[in-house]
Amino acid sequence: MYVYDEHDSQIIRERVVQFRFQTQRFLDGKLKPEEFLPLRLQNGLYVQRLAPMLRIAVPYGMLNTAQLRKLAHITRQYDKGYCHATTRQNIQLNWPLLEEVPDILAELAQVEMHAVQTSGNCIRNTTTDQFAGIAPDELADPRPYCEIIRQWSTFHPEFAFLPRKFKIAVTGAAEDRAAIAFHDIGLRLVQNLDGDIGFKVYVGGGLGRTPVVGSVIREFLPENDLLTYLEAIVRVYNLNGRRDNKYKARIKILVRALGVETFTQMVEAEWATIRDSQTLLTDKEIKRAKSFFTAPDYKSFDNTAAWAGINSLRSQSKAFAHWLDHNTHAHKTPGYRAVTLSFKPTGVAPGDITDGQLEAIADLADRYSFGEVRVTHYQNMVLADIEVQKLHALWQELTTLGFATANVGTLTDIICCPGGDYCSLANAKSIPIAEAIQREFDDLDYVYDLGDIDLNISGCMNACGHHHIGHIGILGVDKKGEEFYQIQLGGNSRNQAALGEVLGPAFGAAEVPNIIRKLLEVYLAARSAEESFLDTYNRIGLTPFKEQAYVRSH
Amino acid sequence: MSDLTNQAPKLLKNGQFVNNPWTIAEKGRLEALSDYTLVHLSDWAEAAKAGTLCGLWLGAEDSVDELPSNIKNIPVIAINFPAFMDGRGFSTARQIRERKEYSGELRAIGQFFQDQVFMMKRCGFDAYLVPADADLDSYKTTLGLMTDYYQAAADEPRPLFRRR
Repeated sequence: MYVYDEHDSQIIRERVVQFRFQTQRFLDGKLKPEEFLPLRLQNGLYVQRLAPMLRIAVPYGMLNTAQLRKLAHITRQYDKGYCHATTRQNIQLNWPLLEEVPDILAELAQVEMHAVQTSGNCIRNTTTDQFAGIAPDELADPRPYCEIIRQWSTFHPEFAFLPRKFKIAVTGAAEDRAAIAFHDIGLRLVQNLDGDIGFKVYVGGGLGRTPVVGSVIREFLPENDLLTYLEAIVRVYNLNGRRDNKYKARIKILVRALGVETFTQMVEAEWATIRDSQTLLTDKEIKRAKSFFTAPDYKSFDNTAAWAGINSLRSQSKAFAHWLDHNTHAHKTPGYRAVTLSFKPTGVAPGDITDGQLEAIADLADRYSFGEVRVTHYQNMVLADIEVQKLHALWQELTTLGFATANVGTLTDIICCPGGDYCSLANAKSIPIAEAIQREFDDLDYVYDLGDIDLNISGCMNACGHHHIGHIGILGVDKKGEEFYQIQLGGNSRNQAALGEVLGPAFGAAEVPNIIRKLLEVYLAARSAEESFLDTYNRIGLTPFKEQAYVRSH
Repeated sequence: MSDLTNQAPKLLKNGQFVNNPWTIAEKGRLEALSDYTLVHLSDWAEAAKAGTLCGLWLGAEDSVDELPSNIKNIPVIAINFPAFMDGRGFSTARQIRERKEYSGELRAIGQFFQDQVFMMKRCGFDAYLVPADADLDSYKTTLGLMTDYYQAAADEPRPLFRRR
């Protein structure tokens, strides 16, 4: 994990002092509310329906246990004892006091954390694969590049007032777990014929009101050129993106208006003027960044021997077997496994986590996983480096703590935004819909039989719940003051990136679980052996689902 | 632009308020051309013929590609911010400094506020037309709060990774 040096520490400390000064001037009436607004947003501070909301940055999802314990302390001291894991791998506090935010930032700075650029029209937290560095299908670890991007984008003086927010995601694996096609810039680590590492560059993907799959603008960008090329893209966007309509201000609209070819030419022309500048990455800097993400002190295991004991325990407990199948994941090191802690038991708002739970997770991470955890964009957490022979002991502890719900990747592992219960932008509630679906599908054997299904819920078209890229997506809409839910099918955040298609007219909240059941019955009847929901949908199309969902009952 | 000329703003340069002899001519308005006038980019060719001492200003939508070929003798180039949320001028400033290698005064005019001046400075501005009631000490504090930075910009060609 990255460790601050004196420069990083100083920059973050100075930011706290700067924000304290800005907050004080605002409270003294010396800084206008409309001017304080972009400043507080770039420190992650929203003013919400019930209270301010502070979004704390978790760069590319990595947390150490000192940071987890600090977050626990902050939720206890400054909030109501819980926080929320977001779909962008960040952590949100829902009830901080404006006056205390500078103090919270000072506490965060003590553990090398901050809330920098977690909101506002600037470059946001760079996200990545939750299995970065450990996935067997990985070409190269994306995290050193994420850290390089983090540093370049932090307080970038040219890009603090972009037309709109700007999100970058990086993946280094064969399977895209970072949804790079749905970011303003998506970067895929690739290797050219000479064996050099570089990036395939996607631009103009995004969700929100106008969901778009990103376009490739460069097949191979040498790794040393990363920052100059990013600077060229963001500069072309800053100078040419629309500023007259916030709903048409994202880079996806610019790319579409200009055409991918023209946009690419503009980027290449701008890049030609800066590619040899000192922003060109040095081999030394890439090496330095990589030095923070080396393999921990793994023990040497014989894989077969390590699994022998676990397989015996597995045969004795169906619950343990299900958990192994769904909540643990392949690791590139023999004798190790990654474990997802499910934050999605029925009846808990997806992603919500208490101070005590944060401390318990820190304790587990220290004892089982080299003192590190990862926040996933599925709103769960991952312990990345678990010895196979300790899986049973860990499972028992997780069961006690309530993190062993064996539903990861299944229908009930729902991605869900805070929705109308908290968010001032929402048109409809989303958490009660998630809970109603979890209650409807409480038969785990039925859920397992369905296979992996991404079900994503957003409370408005801003799409924080990523509804467009769920295999099943649910969007809350407001019709004359009443909440309705539109259903989409066929979205895919991974390699064959796709946006969902709208099923038809929206449903009332009470109807949603039953409609989901009808849709799943269509799948179960139509699937061939082993065929996933998504594959079945792609084969048979929307019509059979539509016919079943809107059939009149007699 | 009218509110710009009516508010009797102060010119912040080198950490103090300094005398400002320059007036701003709106786009296409060259009737009252006299020395110390900032004319719009599109009026530059005509104003240059008149032989008066002029600087030029760019709007947020104006491209540095439209600048006259030899800008090094222009004493002042100003960039107008039509609204403080409009950040195009930050990129334009860097292009003027870094690509065009302009070393004269680069002035920010229009709608911006105190906390943006630090970023403007990093992008290459060295003069700021600020509201008449601006508090100099408060501006100086704001400018001095951040003393180190990661990325290269007009004020520092070396990113932190080349200085570490």
